[in-house]
Amino acid sequence: MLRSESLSLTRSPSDRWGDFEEQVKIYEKPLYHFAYRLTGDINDAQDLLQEGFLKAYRSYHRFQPGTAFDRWMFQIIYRLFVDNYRKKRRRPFISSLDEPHPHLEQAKTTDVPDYSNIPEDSALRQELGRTIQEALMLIPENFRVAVILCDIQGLSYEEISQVLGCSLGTVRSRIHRGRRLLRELLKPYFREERRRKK
Amino acid sequence: MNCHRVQNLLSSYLDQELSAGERREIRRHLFACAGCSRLCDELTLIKDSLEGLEPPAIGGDFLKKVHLYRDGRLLQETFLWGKRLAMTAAWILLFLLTSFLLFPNSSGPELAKKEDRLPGYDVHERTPQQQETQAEEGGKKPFLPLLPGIPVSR
Repeated sequence: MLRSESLSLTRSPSDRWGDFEEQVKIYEKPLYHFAYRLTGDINDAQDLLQEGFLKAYRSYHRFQPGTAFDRWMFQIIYRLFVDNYRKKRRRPFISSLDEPHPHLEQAKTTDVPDYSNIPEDSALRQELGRTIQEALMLIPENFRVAVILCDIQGLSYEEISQVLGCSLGTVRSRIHRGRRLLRELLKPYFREERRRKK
Repeated sequence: MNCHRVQNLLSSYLDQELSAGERREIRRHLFACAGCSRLCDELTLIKDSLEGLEPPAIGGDFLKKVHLYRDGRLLQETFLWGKRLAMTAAWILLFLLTSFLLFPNSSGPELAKKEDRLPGYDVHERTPQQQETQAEEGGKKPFLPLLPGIPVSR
């Protein structure tokens, strides 16, 4: 899944731009998935990814050839997310009761896929996805990012430690604690699922 | 291995991040312990559920901000070079104007006219009156100032 590309340092700006666009096309899907699981909101994920790509483009000259673009992007996106998260915590969103919520307003305009004609299995998967996302949003963000990188993006512990800039032991502990918290949160859902199957 | 140690290592065990020896020990413990085995099953379910999550449908242009930045920067760069060029031209013009104003009779045109100048303007050329004065003063010795330490020959 992960690819590492070699880039020449002696390239003109237009070539570099071409390289950057190519890398974005290859990795936009997993990066968007990562941003979405991290934020839990499509609009926030799009904003985060746009910001991430802008930051990456501005420092693309520092990108080391031979290293993986997606891991570099994971690092950028996570740092941006942490910064935004801290800012949001410092300045909580205050809205008037008379005004419609901006997120809800935006949600109306985005294209929501139509699930009316898909089989039941797919609908169940959608429900499971929603439930897991809700549970992910309830666990601390440092556990969440470790679990997402490990289970959704398929990174090894060493790669995760490089992305997050922490030791292997910390990664191991965060993944384990994150999963155990998810287990506690998803216990009722899985119990109900088991009962339904019986 | 006791239950506490096994439970702590279960996630690493599921992710295949343990050595062969540790894996073997955990497997042996899981066969014997129902509680740890149940926890392992639940964690496996969580892991599988996370792995099976579908990515959201891609919507919108993720490079929108990059395009805007790039266009803005290109325009800015063009404008910057134009500004630099204009500044250089202005400095050169100012320098030329200042030199013409400060030195209106520079040596260049004067040297060109040297050949057809008037006789009175030459410092070495003397008028007849000056020549007469020089002839009268011819017998006299030139005035030599007395300076300390310099012997005067008579």
